[in-house]
Amino acid sequence: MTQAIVELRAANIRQGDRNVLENVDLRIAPGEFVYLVGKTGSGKSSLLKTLYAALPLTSGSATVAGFDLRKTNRRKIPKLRRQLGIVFQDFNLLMDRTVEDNLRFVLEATGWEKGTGAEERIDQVLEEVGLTDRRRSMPHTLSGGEQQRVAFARAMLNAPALLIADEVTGNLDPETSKDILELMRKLGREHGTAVLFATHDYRLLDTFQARVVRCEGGKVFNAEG
Amino acid sequence: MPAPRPNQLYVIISLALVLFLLGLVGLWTFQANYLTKQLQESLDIIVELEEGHTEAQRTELITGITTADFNKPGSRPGFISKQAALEAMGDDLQRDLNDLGLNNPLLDVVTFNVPIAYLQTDSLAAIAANLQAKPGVASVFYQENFVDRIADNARRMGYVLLCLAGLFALVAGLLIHNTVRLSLYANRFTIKTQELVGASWGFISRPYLWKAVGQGIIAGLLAIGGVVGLQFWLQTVLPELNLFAEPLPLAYLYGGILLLGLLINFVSHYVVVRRYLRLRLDDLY
Repeated sequence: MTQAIVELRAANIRQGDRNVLENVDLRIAPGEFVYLVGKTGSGKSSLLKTLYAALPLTSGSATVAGFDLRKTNRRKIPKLRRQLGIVFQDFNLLMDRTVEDNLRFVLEATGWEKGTGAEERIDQVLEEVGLTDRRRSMPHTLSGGEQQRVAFARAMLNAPALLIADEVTGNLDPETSKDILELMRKLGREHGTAVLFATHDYRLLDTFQARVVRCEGGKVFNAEG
Repeated sequence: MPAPRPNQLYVIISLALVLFLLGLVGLWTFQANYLTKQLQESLDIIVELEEGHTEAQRTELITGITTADFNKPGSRPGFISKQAALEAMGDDLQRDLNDLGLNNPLLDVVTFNVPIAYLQTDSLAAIAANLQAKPGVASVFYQENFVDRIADNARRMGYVLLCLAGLFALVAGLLIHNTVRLSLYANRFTIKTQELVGASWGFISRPYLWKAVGQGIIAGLLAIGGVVGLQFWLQTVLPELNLFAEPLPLAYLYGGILLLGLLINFVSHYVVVRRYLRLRLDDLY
């Protein structure tokens, strides 16, 4: 059995004082694409936040990209997040700088130095998401779909082990949503990145076959794709 | 370097104004100390000469005082003859006292001032005893409680000014902190996003702290400019204040304004950025 990228056992996902999901068991293999579905408020985002250590895990065990979440303190969190790519519904781009500066920030923050191929890496990811010509654009001049592509480019910069997508199609039209989903699967396959794609839109599950994990009634149900 | 954005400009102006007011309190404190010192050093020590003293004794006494450590640097002892004193008294009383046909009861006197280091009861008593022993000297006078009273008032005034300066520094700190908090509020999601893409707290904080240093220096220089401008204006209107008389305390004041602006702004930025970093994403809304 290969080493899992995500391994949760009997984990309780908490939001403040409240248990949102109980006794969660979840395993995601390297390069695997997983849909995480459930109604709004079913605990999907809380589960994802726990995976990228924005919410603390207080019971059960969890390993993400080799980091034991129970033992990951504040100083180690940036190192964990460098192994992850996180994309949000509202894009969360740095609106005060251009597309290339958004990408450059991540590279500088994660230890890339000038002359070590950083500029080439920016070219590469922008080409992968089809935005080479928008390199010097400010985020507010881009469409929603383009902003989301920039967010993916940013998430893919460090070839993460796991890409976490939290309702990333929530602000996009159905056609663009499917394009984004296809792009994620393509990038995941090409780079061997596991993808955990959270959505409340069950129609998207028809885009392609993959394993579906469902949050419902405070429980997580695993299903094979 | 790009032009400062409006909220940066707002921070710089607010910071400069608060520092300017703080500078005024500082200037007031220094000026009060300076005036107190001037007042204390205006105390006249009066040496009465014996009736019939010789010219040589008087010259030797004046030379001795002029070269002594206890004579206020840059000042020369004064001499008032008994005749001049009588005429001055007559002027005060608006009468010609020579017409009374009496002997002049006054004595020739030598007066001088002492520097602040000697304005203590013990030192003054020692000076008086020393002069008293000189040939031709009848007695030495000075207003004994004048020194103690001024020193006492200066001490009380010093406490009040210190408390006022402390209170003002606290208010300044709070005002600056609040301004910084408001200006960084718009950046809270940017700060959180930077954290979510893997940036460490130090990496995220650094540009904000550099900006804080820049703002602190600009605001400090503006405040110093304001204080110096006000000093020049006051010096024109009230030259007797002698506002540039002591350059060293002024240099401390200007340095203090710059340092305080830099420090308060830096600490405020550090605290606010750390606060946003510590908050959970959901708490930012």
